[in-house]
Amino acid sequence: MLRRAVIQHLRTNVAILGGRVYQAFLAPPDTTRPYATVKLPAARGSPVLRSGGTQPVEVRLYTEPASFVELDDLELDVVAALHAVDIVDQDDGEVYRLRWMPGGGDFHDETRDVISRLVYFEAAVLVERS
Amino acid sequence: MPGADEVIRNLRAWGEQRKAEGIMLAQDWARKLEAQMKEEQAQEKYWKNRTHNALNGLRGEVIVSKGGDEVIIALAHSVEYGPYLELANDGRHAILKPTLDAAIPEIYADYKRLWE
Repeated sequence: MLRRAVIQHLRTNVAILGGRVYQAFLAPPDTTRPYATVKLPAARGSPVLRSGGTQPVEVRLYTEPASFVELDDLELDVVAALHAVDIVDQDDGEVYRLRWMPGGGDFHDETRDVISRLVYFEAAVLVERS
Repeated sequence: MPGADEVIRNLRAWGEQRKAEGIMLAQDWARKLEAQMKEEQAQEKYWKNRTHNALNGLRGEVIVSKGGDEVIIALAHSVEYGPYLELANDGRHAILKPTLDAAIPEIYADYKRLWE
């Protein structure tokens, strides 16, 4: 499962996150910063392959609202951990490969008083009729 | 060579016509996606409408490069807090990227048909 694989991989490979990687919407409100969330929006059909497509993966990084330099460093670590490397779901052995995509952006989440950066990745997927 | 000038003229005219049709197709898609976003958000699919400023400020526009070689279909917010809607809360209120992503295969198919 891609979602599980990405979360496991970030927990293991980005030391500064200290294992605080959650599914989107499920981060505990009092979690220590920095932390990250992983979201898988709807898969996108390929414009050229009938049964192919891409699965966007959104990683949001959250830090104290003190400096964006910490976010810069964290983003570099996350991209290094996820871009063009084999990511394995330890539970079922499935292997995935993501690529970093330009885009994303910074924002201030006033509800939690954190600053955040959205980092996009994509994985190639089969889009098959069930 | 007799007739070569006419062939070249016709090829150029054909290219210019395709460019113009490409821009018109993009404008058509931009209008369609703006209408779709507004229709869905009128039903509060993405966030709860309070002032309706964000709903009314949704835009679908076309950006054409100088020379017309590149055409961009752009979806945008007009309100200052648009980026917050799009990015914050783990993307709970994101409307632009999901709308465009869902339409991409159909847009490509339309352009493929145009150039066939």
